[in-house]
Amino acid sequence: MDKKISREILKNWKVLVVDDEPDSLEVATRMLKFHGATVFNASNGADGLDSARRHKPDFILSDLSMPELDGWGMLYELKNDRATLEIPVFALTAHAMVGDRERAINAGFHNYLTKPLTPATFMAQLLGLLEGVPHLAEALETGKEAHE
Amino acid sequence: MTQKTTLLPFWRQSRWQWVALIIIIVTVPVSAVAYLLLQQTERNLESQTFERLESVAALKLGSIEGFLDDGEGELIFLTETEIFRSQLIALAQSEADGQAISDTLRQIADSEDIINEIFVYSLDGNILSSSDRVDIGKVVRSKPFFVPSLQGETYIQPPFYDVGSSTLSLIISRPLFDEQGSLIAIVAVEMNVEALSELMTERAGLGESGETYLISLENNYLLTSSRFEGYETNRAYYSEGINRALQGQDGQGIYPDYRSPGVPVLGVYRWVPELQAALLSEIDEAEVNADLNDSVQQGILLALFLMVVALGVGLYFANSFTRPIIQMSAIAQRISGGDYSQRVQLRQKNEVGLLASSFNQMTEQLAATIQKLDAQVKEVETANQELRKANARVREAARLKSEFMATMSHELRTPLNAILGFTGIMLEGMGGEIDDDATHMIKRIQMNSERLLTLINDVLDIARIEAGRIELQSEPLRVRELLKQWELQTSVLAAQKQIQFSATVEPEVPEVLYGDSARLTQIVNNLLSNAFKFTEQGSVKLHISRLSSRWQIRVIDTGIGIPSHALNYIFDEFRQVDGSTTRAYGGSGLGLAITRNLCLMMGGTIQVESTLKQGSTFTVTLPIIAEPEKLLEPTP
Repeated sequence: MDKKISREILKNWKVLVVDDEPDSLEVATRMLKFHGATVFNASNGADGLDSARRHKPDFILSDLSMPELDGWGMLYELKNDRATLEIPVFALTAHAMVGDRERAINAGFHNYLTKPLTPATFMAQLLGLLEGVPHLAEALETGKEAHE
Repeated sequence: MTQKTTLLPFWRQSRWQWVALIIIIVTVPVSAVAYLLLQQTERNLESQTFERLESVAALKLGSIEGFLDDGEGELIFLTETEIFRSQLIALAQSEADGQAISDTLRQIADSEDIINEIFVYSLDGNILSSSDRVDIGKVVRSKPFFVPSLQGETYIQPPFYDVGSSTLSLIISRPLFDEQGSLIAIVAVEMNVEALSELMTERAGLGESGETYLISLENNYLLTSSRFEGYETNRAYYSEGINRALQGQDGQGIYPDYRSPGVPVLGVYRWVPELQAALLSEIDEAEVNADLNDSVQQGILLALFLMVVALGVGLYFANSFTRPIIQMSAIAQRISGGDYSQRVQLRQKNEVGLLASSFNQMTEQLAATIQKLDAQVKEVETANQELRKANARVREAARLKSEFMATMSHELRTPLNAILGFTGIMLEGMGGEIDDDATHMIKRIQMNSERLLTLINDVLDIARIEAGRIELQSEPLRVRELLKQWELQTSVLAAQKQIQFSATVEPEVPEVLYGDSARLTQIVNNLLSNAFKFTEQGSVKLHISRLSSRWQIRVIDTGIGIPSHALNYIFDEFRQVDGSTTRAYGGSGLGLAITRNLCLMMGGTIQVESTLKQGSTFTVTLPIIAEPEKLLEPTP
């Protein structure tokens, strides 16, 4: 794995990370920021929904079990809103929650990332998933222009 | 607990068998003795009867003799007494008138019952005089007695049928000699046969049916009156006794009477030469046996009495035998029904009493044993109940444990994930520059955290497997894509340890299979991480192939290998080759156990071949599932 991931690969990307565990949230945020992304945080689904509507992120990473509104509930709301319908949402699933991955895809999550998130694998996996989304893959290829 | 005494039919009951036995024992010999006694009595009766008949016969013979002697005496009186002798000689020499002497003769004849007529006849057969005047002048030359009477001695003419009188006549004659001793006439008496008959029919000691009678050889005519038929003079009579006597034999016997072949009589018979007749003294056998019948009746009564006595005695003894047995059998039945309270009540001191007391002892022992057994059974039941409770507690504990494990997984991993995340960020330089010394220490933190995470994951996996909490997915697997992913992950490890790594798939393996990709990944990761862990140089190969309806994932390394004795247990939980391995290589020892369990859950197998210091090959064989099972297909 000598293919070095560019520091600036997510420059000008807006990413929303939703997780009720602050440490987990911070780790993801730091890794994304390190690669140039603008990261918004939310600690539950309701905040995540607000943030998504307000900031229109390029994609969302969301934990599944959270207080107030969980990942499922937030996804449902996002998919029912024309403004947020197009935003790819990737689930963050724990190793233990076996059935969740399948359910997540069926429920409308774009794909999933398995916790724990470590720098050694996180970016590789994330980029792999982003390449599966055509308009994001294109953006990765060409580099994203800053919106406004 | 119903008490039901089995009732045998009475012929099966030993009481009645005993009674029957005793009756037989008593009755058979008594009957035999009675029978013999009866026989004896019968014989005695017969011989007594015969004796009586003999004596009667002898008496009658004496009477006959007396009768004849009386007749002869009369003739002697007439011929020897001077008064009559001189008159008779004068009559014979024709010197006296026959008419004149007739009166004298009649007087003598009338004075004697036994004499019918006295007459005197000349040597040429003319009746010179008679007590019956009518006969004077008649001729007796043709009469049977005439010629024998001329022999010069007293002659008794046996009874003969006299055509003239149409009766049986009995004549006794005596010659009359003159002074010179010359035979000059014959004096004769015609005896009164009826008088003889009267003598005979006096039935002293001959009961109701006894009789004595005379049968003449002449025509088998009755000489004396028959008790049953009167004085029948014109009929011939036959019977065995008559025939034998008329043949000159004396004797006795039982034979059918002249009356009818159906009337047997006991008879004594004598030949009476003087009369040329048979004397028979007889009595009906029926009358003789009448006494015997009385004896028989008495015998039967006695036998009945004895039988009743035997019945009583037999019942008494049989009861005393069988009562304890019946009692014991009833108690035995109660025992089989579970009631041990009854005892045999018996005062007998014999073997039956002994048996009864042994029976009681046995019952007591049985009751004690059963009680003990019951107590033991109760103990065992209590123990079983406790065991069941304990078992339930254990299962509950196991359930709680696995539940605890499952909930702990999140809680345990979350802080570890944070540690790993932050150390990773620091090591990648995402958190700013750090010096080498710090990098070294952070790497140690990372390594240990990773080990800790693996351990926690393994322990939780095993807990979930044991609790049956793992559900396998059935999702489409693109094997070649998966392989690429595995290769990507593993290449880091390979690069770190400078070990050659190759991942290959044979073209026969289908593009799409169905299964649980995460669990499959877990299996492959486990095998690969083991392979890298135990291989210091050489290569690790991941190879996927097809084997008819199955497919195989093979991980081949050139590591330290596994000693043959360890091959048996490396798939067991918490086992590595030995304790030192854990210290040298780390790991929970659960990886292979989890792998094996996952393989089995997928319907597959896992095998290992290994040569020490040469390397090991782990082969996972799984069924090819081309279509997902309908059950697992999520409904849209």
